[in-house]
Parts: sequence; structure tokens; C-alpha cells
Amino acid sequence: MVIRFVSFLCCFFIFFGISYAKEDCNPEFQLAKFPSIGQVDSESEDKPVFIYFDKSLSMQGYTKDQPGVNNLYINVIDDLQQIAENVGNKTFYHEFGKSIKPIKENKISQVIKPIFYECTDAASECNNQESKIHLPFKIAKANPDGTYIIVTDLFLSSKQLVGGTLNQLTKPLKSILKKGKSVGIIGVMSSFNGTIYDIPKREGGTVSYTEAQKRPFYIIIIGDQKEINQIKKNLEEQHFTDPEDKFKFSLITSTPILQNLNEKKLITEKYIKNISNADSFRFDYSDQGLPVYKFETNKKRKLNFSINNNEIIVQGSTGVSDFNINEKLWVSQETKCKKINWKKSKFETISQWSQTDNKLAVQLFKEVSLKKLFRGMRYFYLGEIYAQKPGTISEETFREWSIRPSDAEEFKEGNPVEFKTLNLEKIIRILNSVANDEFQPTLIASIALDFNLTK
Amino acid sequence: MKNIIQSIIYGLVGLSIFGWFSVFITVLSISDPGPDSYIVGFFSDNIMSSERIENLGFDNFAEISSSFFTTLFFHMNLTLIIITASTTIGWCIVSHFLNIDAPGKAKIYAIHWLIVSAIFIGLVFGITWYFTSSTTYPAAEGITTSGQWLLIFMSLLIYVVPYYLGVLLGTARFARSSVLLANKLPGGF
Repeated sequence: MVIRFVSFLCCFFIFFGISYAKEDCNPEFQLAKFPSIGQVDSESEDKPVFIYFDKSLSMQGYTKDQPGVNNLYINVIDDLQQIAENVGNKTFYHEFGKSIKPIKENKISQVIKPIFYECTDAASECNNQESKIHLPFKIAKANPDGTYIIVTDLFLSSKQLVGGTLNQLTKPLKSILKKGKSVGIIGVMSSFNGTIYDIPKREGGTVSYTEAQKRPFYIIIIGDQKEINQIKKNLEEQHFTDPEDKFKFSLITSTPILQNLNEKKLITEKYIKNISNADSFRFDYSDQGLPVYKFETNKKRKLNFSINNNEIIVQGSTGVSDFNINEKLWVSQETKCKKINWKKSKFETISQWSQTDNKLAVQLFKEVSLKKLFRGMRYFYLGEIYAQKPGTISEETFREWSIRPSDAEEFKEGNPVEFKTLNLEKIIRILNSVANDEFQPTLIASIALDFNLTK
Repeated sequence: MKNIIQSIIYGLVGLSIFGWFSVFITVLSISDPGPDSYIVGFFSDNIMSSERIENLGFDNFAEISSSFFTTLFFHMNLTLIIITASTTIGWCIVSHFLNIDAPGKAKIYAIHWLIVSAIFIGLVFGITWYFTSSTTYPAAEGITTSGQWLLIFMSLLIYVVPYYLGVLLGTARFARSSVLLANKLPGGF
């Protein structure tokens, strides 16, 4: 008898458990597909790494020690060769200035010595203040499977950043980004003991400067985000451990979005503050991978959904400056699933977003307040958050080290110990704008709220 | 006792001259007038906020009128009918117990009647206000501010006029001077 009773109870609870579980009666909608975010990691076994050294005469100063100042150039470049060997299976070394030339194996070790940057050709051929930085980009475009590392002072004159010359840089860059590759820029403040050429004067012409003791150099990496991050991480761990070492990093990419949060079901109930306190609260993922918050609420509840920036934005990238939320709201007079009769509301903008340094906050039902809704009805809200426009974080990162041509002479006259990079901010802006052109609005997260509005 | 019963009957007759209308709309409410009825159309045009309702995805008020009429409107009218009938009959009975022992004294009781009437009007106002803005009735949320005032005005009209006619006819003959214009009624009535 007891066994029968227990069996009956079990069946009863299983039956009601199933009935309860099937309480899902969402309206019909087409959920936006999760985008394939991220890096096109070519798994090719034969992955070459190409390293290009800027051989312009201004680079020589990095190789000469400055008493009392840490020479990071020598250490970093020495190690970079080792890191490059780890990233790819074969490494090719080149020098670039007026043209690109391969570096013979026995001369590779000389890149950290002043002799490497001396010009031995005829004076007319020795125009090695000219840096044809676009050439490695052009090669990267032709062979996107490789990883390209460019070591340069990135001291580009304004004439190199306009018209056809600029096109020579942006065109291959566009193609590189289109193929899912990214460009990482690591700026390192190093000791400097030499001459900086080509500083533009206000009245025209150029002037040189020899008093600088510190000056940033740059390692530009073209490749997969994974490799760029690996190189950056290695350098960071090995060389930039001292708090006094100044280095900056920026990632130029057409995909500054790290991931879609729904794909790996990263959204939890904690993403909406205090929601778990609501009556009859439940949090589930639908079969489509949509997180659904179910609850009962009164009109006073604040629904704040927030995402940490580091969960969605690629570190070091431009970030996102504009978001768009695709919103839909359905209403049903009947709250029970059996009688549910969803009607799609006319509301298009229901919530409001804001972004701080750390997080993206979405105030759900800010534009269309819960007060505008009718009590006693059931509501189903679907919000799809898209990254709409890339940001400008990387420009801001490098602003400190940048000098405009119009200010260069005055800056030089102040006899600075730490010299800045000409047009750096502009270069980053140009690179970013190319990346932004390739940017596609990307779905970051989709959420649903299924709630009854009570008294 | 006979006079009291007679007063109650006269009071009910006075009430029913216009009071049938409130009974009619109460019965209509509980039976759900349906989306195509005149009353739903009237409420949709004058009382409810079409914009709010349509924004929520409903075609018009008719689509959600059922819960409005079968709960809010029915409960409100039923309450008002009970209050109106109770006040009217109550006054008719009480008027027989007024201490009118000298000519002209009945007029003093006009103050009492005015106070009772004011309380009654206040009750009608308050009950309509409560139902049209209460959180107990979700359907009340679609009512606009102007719609709420229109409903209050209509309630006053529908329930105060029958009340007045009820007390006009039902007040004890010797106390008629206390009720406005009741002394103009024929002496044999």
C-alpha cells in the first residue's frame, strides 16, 4: 500500500514537473544568428614570420646607450627574434627604407648595433630618412598567411599621409583587415642617443634634433589576433615588468568585438541587478540559446542589465562607441500558457544604454517605462544588443606620444628629453578609419524577459 | 408603518424613473457588451487612451474591453446602485422620524437633507474615483484623465438624479419642506 502511494506521489510530481517545465510559451520570433566573431586563425603548418627593420638613420639612436636610461630597444629586439621563431616555423628578416632588402643571416645580429643603420652607399642613394612603411603592408596583403613584424620609429611626415602615398598604406591594410587579420601596435619608450631627422619647421623645411634621451619605437604586428596577443604577452612578461617602463598597445582590427555572450551561455541571472529577488523568478536558456528571465514584478522595478567591457571588447582595440538595441515587446491579456495570445507591441525603442570605462549598462524599460504598461498582463521582451560603431580608444592611448607637425618645431625648441612621434595620432586615426570601414555591426548579446506585471 | 412602506414604494418609483438606466448598464457590463456594441465604441472614443492600447499591440479598446466591463465597470456600478438605493430608502425612512412638531420646522431639516445629499454626492465621486484609478483593476490603466472626469460626471448624473427623484417622492409628507421642491408636489400625493 505504502509503495503504491509513493509511486502515485512520484507520478504526480513528475507529471506536474513536466507541466511546469512546459510553461514556456514564448511568442514566435526569429532570433538573430550569432555572428562568427573573431580571428581567422589559419592552421597552416607552414607559417612564416617576416620581420622588417626600419633602416632610417633616425633609428640609430636606439642602439646607442644613454647613461642612466634603460635601453629597451636592444633587449626587446634581441628577444623579438626569439619570439618570432616561436610564432612561426620560419623567420625571414628584411630591412626597409627607400626599398626592401633581405638581411643576410650573419647580419641579423647587427640590427641592435649602430653599424646596421649607417649608410654605406653614395650620398644621393643614402636617403635613408625615407621610410617606405607601406611596403611590408603590401607584401602582407599578397601573402596573408604569414605574420609580419615591423620595427620602426613611425616618424612619418605629413606628405606620407596624404593622397597616393597614403593610399599605398591604406589599400593593402583594407585588404588585410578584410581577410580577418589585425594589426597590433606596440609602442615602447626606450633610451635614445642619436639624431632625429626630418622634424618639420613652421616656415617649411626640416630640422634635426640631438638632445633627446628617450624616444618611443614601435613594433607593428600584422597577423591573427591570437599571434599578436601572444607576442605582446611575451614582451610584456619579459620586458615591461618595471613600472617605470612605458609601453602602449593598440589593436587595429575590424572586429573589436571579443565574443557573442549567448554563444557560450555566459549571461547569468546576475547580469540584471537584483532580479533574482523578484517574485516567481526563474532563469533559463531556451533551446535557441536565448537567456530568459521569468518573473513577476510591479511597476517600480528597475531593470538594469550590464556587461563588463572586457567580456565583449578585444583588449587594446578601438572599442565600441555606439551600440544599438533591437527590441521587441509582446503583450498578452492572458497570463496562463494555455490561453496565451501574444500581440506584438508597437514600441521600437524601449531601453537606453550607456557606457563607462568598465561596463556597458542597459536600462531596460527606460524609454518605455513599466508605468506605461498595463497591469495584469503578461509581457515578453526580446532585446538584441549590437555593437554599431567602433570607438577611438587606441587614438587616445597614443595621444601622449604624438606631436603634430605644426607643433614640432616649438616642441623641439623646448629641448625635450623625451621626444614624441610625429603624426602618431594621425597615423593611428588613419589605420582606425580603415578598420572602421570594414566594421560590421555585431550582435553581442540577446536577452529575453518574460514577466507578469502585478500591482 | 403603513406610511413608511408607502414612502419606500414612492422612493423606489422615484429611483426607477431614471435608475433603470444604471441597472441596465450594470447588467450589460456583467454580460460583456461585446466589441461591436455602442457602449464599447463610446468608451473607446471618449474614455480610454487609444494610443496606449494600440502601442501595446492591440487593435483598439474593443479587443480588451471584456475585462474592463466584466470587472471594473460592473463592480463600480453595482456598488453605486447599492449606495444610491440605500441612501434614498434610508432618507425616506428617516424622514418619518424627524421631530417636526411645529409649522415651518421642516425647513430646518433641509440642512440635514443637504448634508446627507452632499455625503452621497461625495460617495459617488469617491467610489468612481477609486475604481477608475485603483491598482486593483488593471483595466483602469487605459483610462485617460479626461475620461476619468467624464466617468465621474456621468456617474454623478446617473446616480444623483435618481437619488433626488427618489427622495423627492419618498420623503414623509410632513417633512417635504426639507427636500428641495418637494413641497410643490400635490397635497394628495
